[in-house]
Amino acid sequence: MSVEAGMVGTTARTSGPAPGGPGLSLTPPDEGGGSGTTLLANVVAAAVDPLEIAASLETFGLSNAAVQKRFSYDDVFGLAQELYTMAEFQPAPAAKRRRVRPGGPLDLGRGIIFAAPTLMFTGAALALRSSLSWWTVPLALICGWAFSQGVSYVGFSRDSWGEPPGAAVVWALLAALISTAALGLAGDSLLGGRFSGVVFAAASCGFMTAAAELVVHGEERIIGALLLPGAIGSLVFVTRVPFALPVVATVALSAVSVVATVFAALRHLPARWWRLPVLSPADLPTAVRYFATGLCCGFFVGLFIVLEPAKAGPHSWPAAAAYPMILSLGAMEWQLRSLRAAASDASFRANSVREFTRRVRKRLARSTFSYLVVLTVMTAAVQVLAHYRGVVVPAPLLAAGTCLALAFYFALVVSSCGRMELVLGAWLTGLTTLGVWALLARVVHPPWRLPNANFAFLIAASVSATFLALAARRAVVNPFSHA
Amino acid sequence: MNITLITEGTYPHHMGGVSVWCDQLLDHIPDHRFDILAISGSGDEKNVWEMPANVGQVTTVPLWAAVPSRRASRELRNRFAPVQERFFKSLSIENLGSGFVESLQELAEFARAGELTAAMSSKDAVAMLMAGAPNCQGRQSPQEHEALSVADAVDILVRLEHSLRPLAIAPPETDLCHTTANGLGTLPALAAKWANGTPFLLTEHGVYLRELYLAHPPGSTSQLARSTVLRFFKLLIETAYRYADIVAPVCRYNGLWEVANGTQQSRIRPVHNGVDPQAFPVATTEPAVPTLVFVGRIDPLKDIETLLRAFAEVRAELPDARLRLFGPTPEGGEAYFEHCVQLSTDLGLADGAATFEGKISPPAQAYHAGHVVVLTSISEGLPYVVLEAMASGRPVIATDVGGVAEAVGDAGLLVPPKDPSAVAAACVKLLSDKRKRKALGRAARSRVVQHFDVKHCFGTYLGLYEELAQNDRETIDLRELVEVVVPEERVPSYRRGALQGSSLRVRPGRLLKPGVLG
Repeated sequence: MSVEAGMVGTTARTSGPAPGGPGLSLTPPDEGGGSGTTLLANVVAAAVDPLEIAASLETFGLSNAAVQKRFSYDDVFGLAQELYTMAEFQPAPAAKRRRVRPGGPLDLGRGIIFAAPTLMFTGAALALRSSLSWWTVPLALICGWAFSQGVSYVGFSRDSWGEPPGAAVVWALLAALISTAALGLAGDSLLGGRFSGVVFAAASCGFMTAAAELVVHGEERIIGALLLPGAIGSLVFVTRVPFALPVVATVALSAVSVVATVFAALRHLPARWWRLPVLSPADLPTAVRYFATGLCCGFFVGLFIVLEPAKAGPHSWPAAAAYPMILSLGAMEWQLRSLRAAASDASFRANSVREFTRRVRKRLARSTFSYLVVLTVMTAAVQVLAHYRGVVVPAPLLAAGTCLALAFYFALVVSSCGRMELVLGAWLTGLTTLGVWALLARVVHPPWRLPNANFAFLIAASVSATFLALAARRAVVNPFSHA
Repeated sequence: MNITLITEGTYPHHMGGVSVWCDQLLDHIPDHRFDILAISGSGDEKNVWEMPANVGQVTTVPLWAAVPSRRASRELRNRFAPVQERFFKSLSIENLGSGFVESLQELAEFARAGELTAAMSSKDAVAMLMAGAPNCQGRQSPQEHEALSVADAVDILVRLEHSLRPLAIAPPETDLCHTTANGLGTLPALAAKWANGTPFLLTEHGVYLRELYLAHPPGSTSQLARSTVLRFFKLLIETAYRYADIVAPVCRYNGLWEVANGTQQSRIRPVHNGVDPQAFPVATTEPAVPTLVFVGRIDPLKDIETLLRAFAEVRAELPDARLRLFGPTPEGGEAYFEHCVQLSTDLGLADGAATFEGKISPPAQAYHAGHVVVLTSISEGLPYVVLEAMASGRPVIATDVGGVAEAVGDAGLLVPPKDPSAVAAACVKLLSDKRKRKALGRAARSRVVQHFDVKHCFGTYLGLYEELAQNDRETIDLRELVEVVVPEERVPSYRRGALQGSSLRVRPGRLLKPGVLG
């Protein structure tokens, strides 16, 4: 959609962030724009006012003097008025609208790229398990998720204004590394651990931040390529196929992937990289919201690691309950895109808000069902695989994983409608539920019993998912969400 | 005198002709204090001009800055519904603009309360617009009546909501509002006029409406959305012409458009732009090879394509000729620049014959770099490029648009716009005729010194300021009269605050203007 509303040309430049209109009709005759006569005829047929015709006549040299001399009119406005009155009104069809790409198999590929880091870090975490404390991976997830959300918002926001989106990356990386390391060191002294855990957390966080920068630049393929060493190393380490990979080699391969990703992100540094990115006053709270949402997401996914006791031995499977969600990221993206495309299409076809609402709600239900089917299949597959490996995944945790996956799906829908505050509200509601449970656990004594932590997580995830489902149902039918 | 200078998308955030004019104005009228009110895009723009000492406050009103997401409460939606209905009704062709001014004033109340964005971005606003879409086209389609889609309604509401954002600022409390263009920049000036009776001077460089039509050609969006948005702008522009105390176009040609949009001839006072002849010394030498120079933004309004095509024809006659293009590519114009570079390659000019050389400082160097200065714009006011080239003693070949003919007179060659062959013929003629070139150069310099001296230009503005201040003082006596004869309940709500405020800033005499009291 064209968003130019301000003046253009000699006196002003106040056009909006994403001009989509064709602008001035100056296409030369031999480039498909038609001859001058054709262009003028189009304007005359579709003009909204005689003055619009006068404006075009002048650009073709029919100034006042020329009109008086060649056509004996008093002025160019007289000729324009006559053309306006005489010509048959023929509204020009709107230029082909920019179609929103529906989801497809390509999104499954993107899903694999987004799932690959999990694989890589699972292998690395297993290899380093004797060096990592229980809080290390959750800390990496919380910080990494938060900074990656912040970086991507700032990047996309700057990009929409035609400014280099990479300005934030160096500061975000520094902040990510320093804050994660500081929190890691604090964790070491308060909860116990080793320095290698701090390095692991900082590296993971740095990787996620750098990867977010590459996503802003549409370089998912590069992320995929750079992840290959770490992902393959981890896969070989975990499966011992075709050989048993030493711990050092596994960690080294993951480190290669991390360092390469950070360097790839630093390619996008602008010339004056030391300058802090300029955000408009209204952008700053939104960036903070994205950051806070990242914190919440990292916290919830980190819970899988905290709550599921890792089994000792090579066959352990940390956070197995989170795998259905991670493996269905591609399907999530596919369904989200299809929903957005359908909603955009409905906004062009519907001649009433009611009809638009009906169409979009129907499509939301369909997309949700499709995703749920994929999620169910993935959950079953993970359960079978866990059984085969002799790993028991607690049922409440698996159910919590399903709820959280649905919550993530709805969160994507709601945030794509520009309602980040609702997403944050949903996560905070979930966190509050957990907080209440933690508080009650301290004050409730036998014979009263509270559900265990896994159940509490399930309840919290359900609350967030329900909140987000209702928010999605509401946000998606707002026509401005698809403008 | 305290003057609020209102710009849109130009000074102090961008370079260009209007910004040069603003800089000159501030520089040449040092005894008055200016506050700058700049309507901008994102609000992140940096000042690219050094502020003179007589500039006080600089306020930016971004049209496209993100605003914190605000939901419209049911109460707000209910309160806004009749206002929206009246506003869109006033856009209808049949109403001939009746109620438009009152609607703007009502919308301003919502804007100042920070409620307009939320109110215009609600589902109810879309539904209401779809149910009662105004007829903004004077002609009916022979086909079945076209219905507004949800996307069209959203498109209209989004554009209008952003366009109305200048209403959110409090009316400037100043002695005079001076806008550098018609359009959105007039909204604060109109608000000050309605609230405080502040005198309003409207300078017009390019014709806002003409360029607006060119920027939104048929097919750029759906016909219904286009006609509604353009109707809003047309009514706004007519309103500004109606309420401006003086309309000062930079050329007489603009005056024709102003009259066509309802401005009284008696209020039109053309004031030509001016340049400092000392800053543009006469070029004493010429380059070794026949060289054409273009100076200006790489922008579709400059029609660089015609220039390149014309130059290709010149090269057929004069194979060693060069074309040097000096000037920046504005933000958002990168695609057009790439298009021009590609066209240059396609025309076989990429061998160094046509070169894009960017900004040059001081600009006089650019004019000295060629034999002839060429301008192929399709829309202009009174372009500085032409005046500066003439001051430098260079002959000018320019398209006959806007006030170009007034500037060039008989000291250059005029050609029709979008006609590469005519441009090429004029170029070949001057490049091959040294005597003619010299004669036109001398005449050009003399014409600028005589008619387009910067001192004369801003001396005239100083006179206009004093005239408006004088008129304003004369109306003060009417204040007491109005306070006596207008009962409190007849004073519109948006005016009550002003009446209760400092009486020195209130000039109720202006309340007697039709349409304000309803």
